[in-house]
Order: sequence, then C-alpha cells, then structure tokens
Amino acid sequence: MATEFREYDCQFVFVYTREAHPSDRYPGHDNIERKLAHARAMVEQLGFARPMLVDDLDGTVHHEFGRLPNMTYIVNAGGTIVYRAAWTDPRTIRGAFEQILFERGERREKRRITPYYMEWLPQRTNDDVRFVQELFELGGGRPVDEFITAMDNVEGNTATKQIKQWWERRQSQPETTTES
Amino acid sequence: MPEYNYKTFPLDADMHDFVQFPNIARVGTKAPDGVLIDAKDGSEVRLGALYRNGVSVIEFGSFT
Repeated sequence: MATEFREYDCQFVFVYTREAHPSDRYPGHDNIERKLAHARAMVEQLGFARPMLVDDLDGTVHHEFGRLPNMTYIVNAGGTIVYRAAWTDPRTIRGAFEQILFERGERREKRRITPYYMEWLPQRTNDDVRFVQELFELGGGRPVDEFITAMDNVEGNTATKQIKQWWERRQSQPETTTES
Repeated sequence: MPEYNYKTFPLDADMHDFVQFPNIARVGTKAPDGVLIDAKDGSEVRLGALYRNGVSVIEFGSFT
C-alpha cells in the first residue's frame, strides 16, 4: 500500500499488535521479545518497505485506537484524525488521498476550505476461502479450525459452508512443506 | 472478554471491539499519542512526533 500511494507524499507505518490468529508457529505473545521476533519475521517474509512499529505487550496503543485486528487511521500534521476504517481497504484509502490532494490544491490557491463531518458504510470483498488459505500457509491448521468455529458461532453454518468445503479438501490432501 | 494476548482465537471473533469501534478515537478528534518500538533497531517512536512530520497513514495488524 505504501508503494501504491507514495506519490501522495505521506508517511506510512504499520503498527504490529497481538497475533489475531495464534498458531503453534506464531503463538500469542507472552513477552516483548517474542512479539518483536514475530514482527521482524513478518517484515522479512512479507517484504515490508514501511517502518514496522511494535506496540507494548499489553497493547496500550492498540487499545487507544480501538483494538481491531486490521484497521487504518489517517492523521493530519496537526495530529487530528481525518480518516479511519475498521478494516484496511485500499479503495477507500485511495479516496481519502484524493480528498487530501484536493485540499492541498485549494490551500495552494488560497481558497477557503471548511471541514465537514461525514460517515460512510462501504462494503468490501470478503473472500473467506482465500483468507483461510493464507492463514493455513502462515500458521498451519489450528488457526483455521479456530476461525471456522468462531465464524460458525457468530454467523452460522451457512456463512462458513465454502470455507469448510475447502478445508475438508485440503485436509484430505497429502501434507506439504507449508505445514513444516 | 478474553485476555489481550489470547492463546486461541476468541469464539466471538472480537465482535465486542467491532461494535465499540464507532465510539473510539473518532475523526475530528486528536489522535492518541503513545510510544512504540521500531522493529528495525529497537528505538522508541512517539506517535505525536510522527504526526508532526506530515500526514500519517497508520495501519494496525499482525502476522496472522
């Protein structure tokens, strides 16, 4: 995302929180050294270009911002929150940047601009099958089982039908190196 | 509510936090300050200082 939006002259950081889906490979954090090690492994494996900033063990900063697993904020140079989303979605972030560019242009032209409040409830593509495939590759089978159980509990069996079908097929296949 | 660093994914899939999100750190308010650790070199980074450098995009997440 940082690469896609670098033309907008903004700074991008990633705040590493708790492990959302603990696994045997990347278990929940019980000390800050483990948390730092997970963050550094993430940088290495996913090739992060932007700064990776790690919250403390208790998630003090994460709590202050709402404690969601995949959220994004945009903060202006005055320290005011101008955009926030409960789910990181490049589509709406792109829209926010278009707005920031518009405001910069208006300031350059010395036109008067005034803030107004808005709320929005956009919808994103929710590809649960792809998500659990990636979860399996990163963490193995346990987090997949736990995710399916939680989704069954929250949304019911119908919502998890496709995930279960994929998971049953995957479990019937021979073990691969991704499980090592 | 499960402990912060839970060992297994919570049965409610963090729904409590999703429900509460609209009431926390809203747009138009000052962003929370706080200290984080730069994974690259272990140095401390204060968010307030980061904000002063210009528009900041802050994504939260984890490996899994």
